[in-house]
This record gives sequence, structure tokens and C-alpha cells, in this order.
Amino acid sequence: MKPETPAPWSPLDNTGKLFPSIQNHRYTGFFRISVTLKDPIRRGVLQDALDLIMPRFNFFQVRMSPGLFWYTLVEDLPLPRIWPDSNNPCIRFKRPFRDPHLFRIRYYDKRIALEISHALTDGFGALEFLKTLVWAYLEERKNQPLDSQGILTPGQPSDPRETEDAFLGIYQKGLPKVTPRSQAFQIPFPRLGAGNYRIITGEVPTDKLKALAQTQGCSITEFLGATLLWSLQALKETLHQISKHEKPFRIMIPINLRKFFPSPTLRNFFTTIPLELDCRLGHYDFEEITKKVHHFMKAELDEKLIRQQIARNVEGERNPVVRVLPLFLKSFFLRGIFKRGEKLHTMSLSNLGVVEFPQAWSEEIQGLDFIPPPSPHNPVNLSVISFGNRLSLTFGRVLEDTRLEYFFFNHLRSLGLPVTISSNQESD
Amino acid sequence: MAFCPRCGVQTHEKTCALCSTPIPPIPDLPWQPPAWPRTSPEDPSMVYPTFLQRRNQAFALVTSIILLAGMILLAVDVYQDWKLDWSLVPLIALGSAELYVYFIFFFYRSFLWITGGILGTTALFLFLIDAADTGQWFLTLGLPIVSTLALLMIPTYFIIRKSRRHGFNVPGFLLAGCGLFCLSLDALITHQLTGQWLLTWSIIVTLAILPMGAYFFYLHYALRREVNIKRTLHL
Repeated sequence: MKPETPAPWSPLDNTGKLFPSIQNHRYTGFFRISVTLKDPIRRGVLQDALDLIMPRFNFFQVRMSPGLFWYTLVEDLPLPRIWPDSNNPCIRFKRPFRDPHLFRIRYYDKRIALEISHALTDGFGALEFLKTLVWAYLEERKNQPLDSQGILTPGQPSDPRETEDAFLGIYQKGLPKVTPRSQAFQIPFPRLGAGNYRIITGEVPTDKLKALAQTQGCSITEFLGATLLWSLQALKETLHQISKHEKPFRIMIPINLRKFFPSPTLRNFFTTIPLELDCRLGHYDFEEITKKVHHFMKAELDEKLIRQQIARNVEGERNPVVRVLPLFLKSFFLRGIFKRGEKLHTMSLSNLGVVEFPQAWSEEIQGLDFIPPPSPHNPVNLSVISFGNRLSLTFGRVLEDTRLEYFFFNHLRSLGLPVTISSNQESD
Repeated sequence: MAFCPRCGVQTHEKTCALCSTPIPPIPDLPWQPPAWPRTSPEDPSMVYPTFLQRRNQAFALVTSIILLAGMILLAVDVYQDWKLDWSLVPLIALGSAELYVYFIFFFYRSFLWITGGILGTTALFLFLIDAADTGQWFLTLGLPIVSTLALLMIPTYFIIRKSRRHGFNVPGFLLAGCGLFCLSLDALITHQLTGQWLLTWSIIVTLAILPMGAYFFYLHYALRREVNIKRTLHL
């Protein structure tokens, strides 16, 4: 009898290694990017499109397998299926529906959504996958070839570097340690029960927001970071009577490293920079905050500083003591380290930037939305994505309280920006 | 599209997602499907019970076990001679256990409430046990021990809480509190037995504890963060 060949496997990347150890029923590690088309989605066509593109993205068709020292990705799964969308996105499935795939495709009305684990990829990789899926779906639905410029089509041979751990390529040995940070202000409201994830999406015109940011002399990310810090300050001022410890606000901003170190990798390849505002020094005006944020980001987006952060992460993984620790002990320590790390910032602001599709069929698309992963430690997070003249700002929260979102969108309104709000809260 | 009269944002929904203000309906507005599907039993996403729901379920379970145990005790005791006899002490213990569980489950966030509740329950338990027996030692021994414990625990908690940095000083304060409690306990027991205020075994315990506490204070206050340990220890 012929012996059964073991399924191909691959290691997780440096950032991805963290996620299987820390994820649980509250912190699922799933984030979501969705595309809204102009016509309702046809489930069968979408399933055909997914089946068509999966051979090109076979490194996404994997399950997490615990090894003796690390988790690995094993390629032995059948083709994924399409799921109807849910009122609670990015949440674990109930037992009969549990799916070992690290991503799922969902549909609702005119929307196709990709929910994917951070263990597998980052926002860039997820976006590339979703772009290919939308291209394949539209081609199947229209039954005619469509322009595929800038799309990773199934016919193309895949580049082996798409699955590389790009952090190792830019790792520089012998750099000094990163200066540790103090703990940051934590949003104090009671958390919702596990499995509940509240979403509020605000749509604003990209051109007006860009013009507004330019009047302050900063980029859109800097402007939104400043607005978020201003909102946190307003929130803190309303809570002053009940606040016990004064700690600075710190917003974590993920940075796509492909802009600094070109790489075709579809695995995680990002680092984070912190935006900080110390409320103990007194009240800041919005102009003061934007100026501070602008200069701070200019200073922090430095290739050498980024290399220093990456060296810390890679050295953590390569540490001989860490390497020989069995997986259950590693997971135990990683959970503690992650929890400590989450206390060093208040929330995150993730901007995927402007997404472009080939001109020939981009008119089929209404817009894109991006939802951050739910986190009990940082209970509110903001994600941003833009397509055409529609910029989507999505707050994901595990709280009932909406004061932060209220302050944020009201500030944008007060600056003359029209805001359209939608949410997954059922109101009747 | 409708506007929220309070926030000024546009929305398709019936209430504003930001401020919960009802949105005034616009009559001739075309119908729009909701932005998200409604919750349905077919939804594969898992919704777990909230912490409060799980706490209430656990409390109900513990209470029913205690009640069941109490009813069995009562039935066995009363069945023999139609009198409440030996089951009184275990019934008092079960009642106290229920009160302990209540304070732990419902007041775990407030140190003062949980300490007050647990110490109060302990005092009540000792009083009832004493009353059920000879009625001799509660006022002279039981109540003073519980009161001393309260008088030491509450100030120790506030001193720890008010300290600017939490580190090795926390075990230092706890050991100091334990040492003082041992001294008081020893004095109260000796007084009850001999009628004299004497310290016996507690001196040995305190002499063992206090140097350790002092060492923790030294580590915390003398070896501050700025001190280079490698340089101090000539490593």
C-alpha cells in the first residue's frame, strides 16, 4: 500500500505567530473588508468565482495546526464555502458551523465580505484576495472577460515570494532595544457579552476630507488621528469625575511596510507607530493636536526606527529560550505579553488608503468597508478605507456606550463635513 | 435621506446610532434595505451569555445546592424526633456559606463591601454558633478577633492603594499586616485562657515575618528604578 504523503505545511510569519496563541472567543483576530456592488449578489456565482480563484491563493486554504514548538499552517482543507452575512461580524461560529478555514466569504444584499484572520495576512493581503474575488465574480456574472490589470488572476503563476516572511528579509542584527512605553488610558465602560460586536460606519466624501486635512497641513491619516485624539480628550473630560488615574491617550497606527521595503508578500508585513497626547498637560485645541500629530508622524516614519522595531520582534522569535519552550508554555507567556502590550495603547486607527480597481469595471462597485478585529482590551477601534469619492470610517466596539463615536463624527460635522451613518444595532 | 435632529448626521435608520435620538420619518423616501441583516436563529455566529448572565446562573446553581443540602439535613434531623437538634450548627454553616457566596458574587468589585460582608457574615456565624452552644466566647474572643482583622485589613488596603508605585511594597505591607494580626490574635487567645495580656508564639512568627517585610520595603524604596543593579551588585 502506498504511504499517504503528509499535507504541505508552512510556518506562520513573525507577526502571525502571535495570533493563534492569543485568540479566544472574545479576541477572534478576524478583521473584515467588504465590497458593495451595484447589483444584488448571486450566491451560486460567488461560489463559482471563489472555487475558481482558490488554486491561485492556495496558501490561504489552510488550517492552523499546533506543533511541538509553534503553530503551523497546513494545506489539507477542501474548498471553502460561502456564508450568509451576520449581524455580528468577525465573531466565532457556533459549533455545528465551525469552519477550520482561516477566512470566510459572506454575502448580504449587494455586499461581498471577506473576514480573515490576522494570523494569515494583513489588510494588504486581504485586499488583494478580495479584489481577485470581485473580479472573478463580475467576470462569471457578466460571462465575458474583464480587464485584470493589477489583479492577481488565477491564470498567472504565483510568485513564491508571496508567502515569504518579509520581516526576516529586512531584519538587521545588533540594533539597540526599543524604549519601553508607559501604560495608556483605557476606555472604562463595561464590555458587551462575548459574541456581540457593534459596528458604526460613517461615510464622508474623500475630496472634502482631503481638502479639510490640507487646510490643517496634514494627510488624511494624520487628520483622522488628530480627530480621534480630540474625541478621546472630549470623552475623558466628560468622565473626569470618575476617572482615577491619569494616563496619556495613545493610538496605534499600523503602517504598511511594503511602501518602505518593497515586497510582493501577501503575509503580514506591517508595523505600528503610536500617536500620543498627554492630557495631564492641559486641554489641547484641535489645531494644536493636528500640528503635534503631523510632526510626530513625520518623525516616527523613519526607516531606521522601523528596522529597530522589527529587530525587536524578530529577536523575540529567534531567542533560543523562546524557541525551545513547548507551545503551551509559549502560548501562556504570549497571552500575558499581548495583554500587557494592549494596555500600552488606547485604541487603533488602521487606514488601508485609497483602493483602486481597473477602470473598465470599477463603476460596478459602490464602495468598500473595513472593520477592525474585536478586542476586549482595546474595546473601540477605527478602520478607514476609501474608494472613489467615498471614504468609509468604521468603528468596531465591544461596548454599549457610543460617546467616542458621537464626539468623533460630531467634530467632523462641525468642520462642515457631511456624514452618513449606518450601524448593525437593531433599532425598533 | 433623513437627518438626526441632534447630531446632524444623515442616516437610513429609525434611531440615530450615535445618540439614540429617534429619526423623524420622511414620508416619500424610497425604501432601503437595512445595512446589516437582522439576527436570526440560522446565523452561524456564536453569541455567548454575558458575564452578568453567567454570574446569575452560577449563583442560582450554588444557592440551589445549599438549599438542597439544608433541606436534607433538616428532614433527617426532624424525622428522628420532630425537634431541631444536631442540624442547627450545619444549618448555620450553610446559611453563612450562602451569605459568603452572595457577597463574593455580587460585590467582588468593591473591596469595602466584600470585606464588610465577609467579616460581618463571619461575626454573625460565630455569634450564632456560640448562641447555639454555651454563649460564652463570642463577646470575649470571636468579636474581638473579627474586629481586629477588619481594623487591620481596611487600613492596609488603603495604604497599598494610596501608594504611588505598586511593587515590592505590596508584599511588604501585607506581611506587616499579618505580623500585627498574629500579635493581636495571640494576645486575645492568651487573655481568654489565662486572663493576662501575654505574647507567646506570635513573637516567633512576627520575628520571622517582619525582616522579610522590611527586605521588601528596602527593595522597593531603597533600590529605586534608577539604580543600576549591575553596578550596585558589582556584576
